[in-house]
Amino acid sequence: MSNKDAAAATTGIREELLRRFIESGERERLQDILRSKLQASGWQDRVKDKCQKYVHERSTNIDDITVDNMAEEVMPYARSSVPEYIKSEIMEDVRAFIYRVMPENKDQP
Amino acid sequence: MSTVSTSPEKASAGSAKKCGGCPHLASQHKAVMERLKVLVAYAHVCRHRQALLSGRRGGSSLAEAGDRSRKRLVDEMPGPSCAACGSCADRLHACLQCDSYACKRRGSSGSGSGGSSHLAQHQRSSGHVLALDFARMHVFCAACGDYVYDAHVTSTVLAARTRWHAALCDAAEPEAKRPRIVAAATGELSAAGARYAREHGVIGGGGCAAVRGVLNLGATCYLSAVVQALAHNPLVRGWMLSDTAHGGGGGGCARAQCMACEIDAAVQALHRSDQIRADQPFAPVRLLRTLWATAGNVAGAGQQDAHECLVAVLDALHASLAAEEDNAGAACACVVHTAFAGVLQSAVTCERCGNTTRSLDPMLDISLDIPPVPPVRAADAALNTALDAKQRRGVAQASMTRGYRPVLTLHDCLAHYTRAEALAPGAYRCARCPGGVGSAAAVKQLSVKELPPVLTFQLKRFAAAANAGGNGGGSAHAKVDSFVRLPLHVDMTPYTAAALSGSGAPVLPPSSSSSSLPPPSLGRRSDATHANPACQYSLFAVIDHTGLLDTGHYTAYARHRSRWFRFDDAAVTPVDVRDVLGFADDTAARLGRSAKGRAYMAFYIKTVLDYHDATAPAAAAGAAAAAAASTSVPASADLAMPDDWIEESGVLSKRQLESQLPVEVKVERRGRKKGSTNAARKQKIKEEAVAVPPPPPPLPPIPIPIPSIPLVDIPQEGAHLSSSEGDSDSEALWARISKEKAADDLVPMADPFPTTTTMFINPAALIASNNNNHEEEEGEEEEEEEVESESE
Repeated sequence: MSNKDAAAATTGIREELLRRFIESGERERLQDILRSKLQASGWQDRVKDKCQKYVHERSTNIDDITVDNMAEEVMPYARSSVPEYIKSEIMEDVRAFIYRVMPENKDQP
Repeated sequence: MSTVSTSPEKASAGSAKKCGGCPHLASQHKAVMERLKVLVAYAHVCRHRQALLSGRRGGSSLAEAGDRSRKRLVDEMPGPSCAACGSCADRLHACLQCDSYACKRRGSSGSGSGGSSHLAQHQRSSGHVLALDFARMHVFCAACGDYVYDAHVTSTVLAARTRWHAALCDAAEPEAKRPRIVAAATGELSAAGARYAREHGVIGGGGCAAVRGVLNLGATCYLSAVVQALAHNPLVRGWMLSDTAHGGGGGGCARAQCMACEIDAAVQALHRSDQIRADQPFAPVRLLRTLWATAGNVAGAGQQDAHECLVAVLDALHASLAAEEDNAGAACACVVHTAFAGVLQSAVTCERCGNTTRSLDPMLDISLDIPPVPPVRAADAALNTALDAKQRRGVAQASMTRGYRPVLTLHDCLAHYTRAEALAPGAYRCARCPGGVGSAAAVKQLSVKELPPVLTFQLKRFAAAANAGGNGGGSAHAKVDSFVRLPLHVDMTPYTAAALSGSGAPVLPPSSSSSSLPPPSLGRRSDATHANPACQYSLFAVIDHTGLLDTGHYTAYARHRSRWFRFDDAAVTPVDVRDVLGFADDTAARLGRSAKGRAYMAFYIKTVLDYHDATAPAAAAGAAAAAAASTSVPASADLAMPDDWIEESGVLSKRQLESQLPVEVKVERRGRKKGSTNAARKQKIKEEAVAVPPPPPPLPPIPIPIPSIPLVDIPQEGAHLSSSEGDSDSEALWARISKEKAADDLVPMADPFPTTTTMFINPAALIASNNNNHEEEEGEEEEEEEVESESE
């Protein structure tokens, strides 16, 4: 297969996987699991605290606080402070799902 | 343009568009609401499709029919996907003015925020500004540039959520006897109510503080902490302040050493505003004396254990309350049991024959051992080395958690508590083993069978069995000092009996001999449980212990209307959540430095409060008597803590009083008062279905001046939130005032959880009551109002 074909095939498979991922409810389920793990690890409390600090800093100009701005500001901290074990566990779950659904595509990234 | 501009004129105009701030939403209100209702229902189905599908229904024929229709639901209903790119991920937003969906984040030029996302494109091209975040159900207004808050929208969303709550709980735990959800709480502030509150609200001075110190009478810090924890327990507080329980509040009780009277007096003293000055703590002299009289094991002038004290207080409370109600055979309906009582299950499985015997144990709280700190997890270690290698190669993958040690959390303690442990051989004799006699290897597992509305955890920090015989005479037993992180929210689904026993006999973790803890609890079931909404809890009080075993000091942290306070005997200070949860200690522990764990007891309350009302076993008009009716109070949005919960109360109809029933309450939901017409009832029922609005993001819709707590500076954010609760309080008061003409129709009932817990912290009411200076009247009227709700 030429490179372009391979790329197209990959994209097609990826889209298909994504569609199955969502429509089977697996995404919701994993999101719930992720949410509770993050909550259990205290990540949620820390990020919430960070958001509150953000609001406090800009409390004089409250109209400028939008969800998007706050998300931009807090996102780097939030992304980087997710505990590693949570990341790896969710990755494993996703991988397991992929194997379940498309067993022949073991080598997809 | 202000995102949530508040405009009293708008609200008090009594217009049908009772919207908060976004003028764009206001201008299109009707059409938007129509679409919204449909979209919200659709969103719920899509979101919880799997959860609903996986719920098992009892009964084979029913199961098949149900499954078939549900399967059809899953297969045939398509999920939404973005009109531009066809993906269904990436924060889909549904346009509220036409029939399209768009992603918010993914954009054609690849950049996330700003003008190039698919949503922005759609909005530019079509001129529609309003969109609904499909997953979280918030309304986004492009012109305002932010998510906007609208009372109608949020009430619709919450009403839908309440309706689905029952279905989801059912799906997660089909066998559980769930109270029938009869009504959801209402917290809407009507136009006239807002007017009244504005006129009668008071700025500064007066008002209810509800945060008042308790004087230390000499090593009684344990009592101070326990009293504060009880006073801020919404269920206990509500019941105590309702004033119709237990002899009408001080004076009706004939017993000499009645704990209920004392706790009643204590809670009222802590909340009463007319006598509070910032420096006058409450002296629990009589309470202490009653405690000593009724519970000998905590008597004595020295330091006692707070947990023992709490148990003693609850026992005494139950004793003094249960004596009044001769409840032979029925479950005890006193406030202690209705609030705290749960059931633990111990399941022992014989490994030979697989037979499981279960025994149930009533409990008032859960005492957790503190397991040893887990070593660095294997996954962490592997990733750490991988990241190290990457960083050396210059691929920066900044991860702050690299090198962090794992910290003990409450979940770890719970997992340890509910672990499957192998009993020593010879300890268990299986009754059903075919081989006859012979002790078998057995596996025992504890779980929670029934979750109480208020869940109390005690962390066993005292290593040796301290029987708290406190006069300082005990030897220096070691105190377990490890830091245990308490979450603000706890999901108890993985620890319930249903979750743990659903997969058959308890299975030993594979590496039981290794030193690592079992994997996080959600990994126990191979098909992970969908979180049961009925098992979500929020933290509202913590009791800390600092110092050594015998000479330590207890402090309490409690949440009052989403603000946290630290109660150190007579000194009350507002604190950040960071201090409560001990972020500083947390970070220290994560970095491997030694951190002293302080938390000793933690109190959690159900996020969605559904509880059983007391029902009389033999009621005259037994309509609602047989089934326990209940109310369900929906909490606010996903991550936010609910500010408060407003409960609806039943009514003891006058008919019953006349028939001389005993104190037992017959609770009639949506009680029909004399002379109420059908129209009024329907109106009331319709309004009951409107749910409590969640705390608005930055500002409340109507600025009600709220007295600041006379102690110290309030952080600005907290002030906003408190004023939104002030709305509901003032509203309640106003409705009450307007109904006084119908007062004689209703009699307030002796329900354990009669009214809203916040209503007594009503500044306006307390100001008004200052004129009468009579607590009883206030409590009574509050309840009347609650029942009647607002009719116009």
